[in-house]
Amino acid sequence: MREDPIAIYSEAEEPSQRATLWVLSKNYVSAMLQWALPVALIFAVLGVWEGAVRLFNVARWLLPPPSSIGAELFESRSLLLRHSLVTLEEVLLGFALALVVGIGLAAAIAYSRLVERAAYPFVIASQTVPVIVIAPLLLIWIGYGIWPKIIVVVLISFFPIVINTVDGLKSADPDMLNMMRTLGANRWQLFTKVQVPSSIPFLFSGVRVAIALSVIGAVIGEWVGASAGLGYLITRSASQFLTDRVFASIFILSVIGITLFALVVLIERYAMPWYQWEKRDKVMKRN
Amino acid sequence: MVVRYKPTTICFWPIIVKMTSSAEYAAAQASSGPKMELYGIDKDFSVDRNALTVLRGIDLSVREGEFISLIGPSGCGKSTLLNIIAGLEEPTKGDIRTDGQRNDRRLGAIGYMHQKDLLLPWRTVLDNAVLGLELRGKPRSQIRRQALELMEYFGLKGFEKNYPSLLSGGMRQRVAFLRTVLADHEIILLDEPFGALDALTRANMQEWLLELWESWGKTVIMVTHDVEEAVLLSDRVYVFTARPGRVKLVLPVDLPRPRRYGMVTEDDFVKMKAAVIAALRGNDVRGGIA
Repeated sequence: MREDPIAIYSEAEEPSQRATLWVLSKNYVSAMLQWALPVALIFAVLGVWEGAVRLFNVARWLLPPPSSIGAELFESRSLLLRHSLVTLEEVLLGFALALVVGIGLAAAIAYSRLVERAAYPFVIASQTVPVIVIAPLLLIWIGYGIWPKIIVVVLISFFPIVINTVDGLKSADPDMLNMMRTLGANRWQLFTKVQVPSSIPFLFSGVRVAIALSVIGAVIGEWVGASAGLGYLITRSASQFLTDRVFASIFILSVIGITLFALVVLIERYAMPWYQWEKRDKVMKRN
Repeated sequence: MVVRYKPTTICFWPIIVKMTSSAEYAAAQASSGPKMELYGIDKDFSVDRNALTVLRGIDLSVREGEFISLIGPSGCGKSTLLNIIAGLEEPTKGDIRTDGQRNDRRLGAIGYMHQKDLLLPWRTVLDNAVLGLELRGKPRSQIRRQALELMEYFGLKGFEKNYPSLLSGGMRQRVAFLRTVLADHEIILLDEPFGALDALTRANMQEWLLELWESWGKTVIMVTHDVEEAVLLSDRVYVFTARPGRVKLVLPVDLPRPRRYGMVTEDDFVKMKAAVIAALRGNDVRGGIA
């Protein structure tokens, strides 16, 4: 039974509990495990990699040890930075465009049955045709430059945004919609005041997937034809057997991907304070 | 834990309602004709090409300022009837009049409170409360002021900026009440408003609603499963048969007002309760009364 909302959430932080040796508490151990375990795993993998490469004397062009990838990251930092900025620009512009196109399309699909019937086949077809096949065509039609890459990014990342947002817009509680009708809401008010807010959590899960796909899209775009960017740097370095530079580029790509993903999660938390409470509330009810 | 919410002033209601003085209100009630009338309402649903009759020939009339309850076995169509009155569904047959006129544009003109509080989780308590006025395009600062004035009466003072998921079930239901009250419709439908609450909170809320309604004077139609609740709150109780729902008994509750929760153990009250239970049990032994 829940009576006093304040009491429930302050229970966990009773002073008597805090006074006990925190280092020995269950929370501390689990927090340590949460952080220490992944970090230890990463170091273990790197250690085994380094050791194996040295032990078996693997050629550097075949598989460089982590230490030489690290050295490459440092030595070629200005080159890597220049190409990283190009890729980052493509990712961000493409993703922004995908967001606009995705949300706009989702809103139209959820608002009108007719648009849904007309647009859905195209949305799905855009995902069944491999982007890697479309990219050379874009090159023929638009040429080199940033636009073919941006279009590839949009093509690959708008899909999860559309699908999730449409589901979100349709997930609005029918009882809630009826309640709004009895208060006199018109269709536009139902849409903006119930459907749109209900869709935001869904939108964010689509965005999390989309941001990761955006990075892949930019690299694919660059592979097909480019004169700058990390994807371009990877193909060029690979053909010259500069394998440590390939690995350095891959490392930067994953850092970009993880950072953007984390940024989305952060924005999500600030944009929907109510959602965090609701999730917490559901967990509490389950326990 | 058990908090009683006393009105700060007896006549708090004029803050919202145009009908200001209690004298005016008394005059209106004395001359009141039926506020709402239902004539021969039938409702059929088609399920797998079979017609399922949910309501059959419902006649019902409520005077202005009257509180009536509809009670009946589960699935007797009480909630469907409320949906029809609210304008969310249309009857298969029959018509509905308000103030003596046939009214086919009821949706949005009749207050309706559901068993679930149906608060919008992304809105704070205050923003949920003002929803009805906001939808009518009233200026934001004005409607917020109106809501803030009533927060204390509804036991929500200090929680205006909280999100609903932080509130207890009883508090959430009071926010839903405040939303209904602020929307300021002349007829209010309540669909098991306390059904989701535990027994103790429910008893407190019933008494609180009694006070609210007695100083409020709106026309209320409430659906309930709870015989005691129906008798305690109502001027008349309509007992429904099992599906297809028909009116089996209309019982006037001539207990004095103002009523208090303590009355539930008095002889007259117990007799009324027995009469309602007898009517309920008479129609179908299998149909349980929750």
